[in-house]
Amino acid sequence: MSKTNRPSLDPAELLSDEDVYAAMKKIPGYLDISAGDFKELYLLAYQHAETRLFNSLRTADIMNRQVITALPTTPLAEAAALMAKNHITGIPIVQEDGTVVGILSEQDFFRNMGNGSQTSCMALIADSLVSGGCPALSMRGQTAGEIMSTPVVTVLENALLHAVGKMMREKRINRVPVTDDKMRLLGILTRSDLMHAFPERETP
Amino acid sequence: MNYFNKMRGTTTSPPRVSLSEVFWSWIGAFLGIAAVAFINYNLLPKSDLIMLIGSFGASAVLIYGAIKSPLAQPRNLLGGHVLSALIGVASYKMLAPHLWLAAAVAVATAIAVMHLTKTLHPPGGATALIAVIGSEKIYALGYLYALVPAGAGACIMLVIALLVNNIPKTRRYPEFWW
Repeated sequence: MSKTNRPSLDPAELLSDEDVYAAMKKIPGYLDISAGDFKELYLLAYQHAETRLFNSLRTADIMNRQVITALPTTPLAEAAALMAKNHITGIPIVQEDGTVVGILSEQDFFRNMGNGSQTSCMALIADSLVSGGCPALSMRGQTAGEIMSTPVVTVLENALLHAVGKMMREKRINRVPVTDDKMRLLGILTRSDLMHAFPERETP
Repeated sequence: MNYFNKMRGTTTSPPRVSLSEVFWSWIGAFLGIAAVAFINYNLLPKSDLIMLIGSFGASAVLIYGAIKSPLAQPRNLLGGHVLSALIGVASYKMLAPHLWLAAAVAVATAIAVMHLTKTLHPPGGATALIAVIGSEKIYALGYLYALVPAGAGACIMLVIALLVNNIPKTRRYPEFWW
C-alpha cells in the first residue's frame, strides 16, 4: 500500500481506545467487555468481513463489459493501431458471431518480429540497433488470426474472483476474456482490475 | 509482550452506567432475591428444602446488573447452576471427608464443564462450592440440590429478570436463549 498524505482509513490505525470508550458510553447498560477487547474483536471481524466479501465476489462484479476486440481477419497494422489508440496491450480476437478464438498481445508481436527470439521491447530495440532495418516488416500483410495466441484461456462470469486471480497468477497471464458457456465474449478481466478491486492485497 | 509487561494492563475500565441503569438493576435484584428469599424463609422452613443459596447473590449481579453479558444469559444462568450443583454434590460424596480436596475439585471441574457446555456463569462456581461447604440441610439433599434450590431458584430469578429487565425502553433481556 502506498503512503499518502490522506488520513488512513485502515481501521487498525484509525480506531483508538477513546473512540471505543465513547461508543460504549452511548450504549445504555453495562457492557461486559473492555475497550481493548472490543477493538481486537472489531479488527478481527473487519478482516473477516473483508475476506468474506473478497471470497464471494465473482468475475461479473468487476469485469469490463466494453471490450475492444478485433476479428481474425483484421490486418495486424489495424490491430496494432487499435491497441495503441486505446493504451492497451492485448485484445481478444473474436469471430463475427462473438465467439472468442484467441488473444492478441504485445507478446505475440514480439514473438513474430525480427528473428523471433525477442520477448520484450528492450530486446527488440537491441536487436534492431544491431541488425538495422525495421523488425516489424516481417509481419506486414499478416492478420490478427495468424499470430494470435490460441487456444485462449477464458473464464465464466460467475467464476469466483479469488479462483480467477489464482489461475491468472499460475498461468502468468495479465488478462482473461469472460465468456458464456458457448465461448461468446461478455467482458474482460485484467490484473489491474483485480488490484483496483482490492488495493490492500498485493494480488488476490 | 514480556511476562511482567502484561501485568500493567492495556486499557481503561468501561464507562459508568447511567442512573436509570442503576435504578433498574436495584429493582430487579430486589425483586429477584425477594422472591427466592421469601420462599426460603416463609414457605419452606418446616420442610427439608431450601431455596436461597449464597451464589444467587452473585447471579443477581449478572442477570439484573449486567444483563447484556453472555455470562448473564438464561442458558448460562440455568446451565451453570444445575451442572455446577451436580459436580459439587458428586465431589462431596466422592471425596469427603477430604473437604479441601472436594472443594477444589468441585469449583475447578465446574468451571471446566461450564466452559465445555458454553454455560459459563461465575456464580456456578459458588454453587459447586456450597455443595461441599454445606449446611447439614444441603448435605441431606444429595443430588436433589441440583434441582432445588439450584435449578428452581435460578428459574424463579430468571422469570423476574424477564419481567423486570424488559420494562425500560433502553433494556432488553435476554440476548439469546440457547
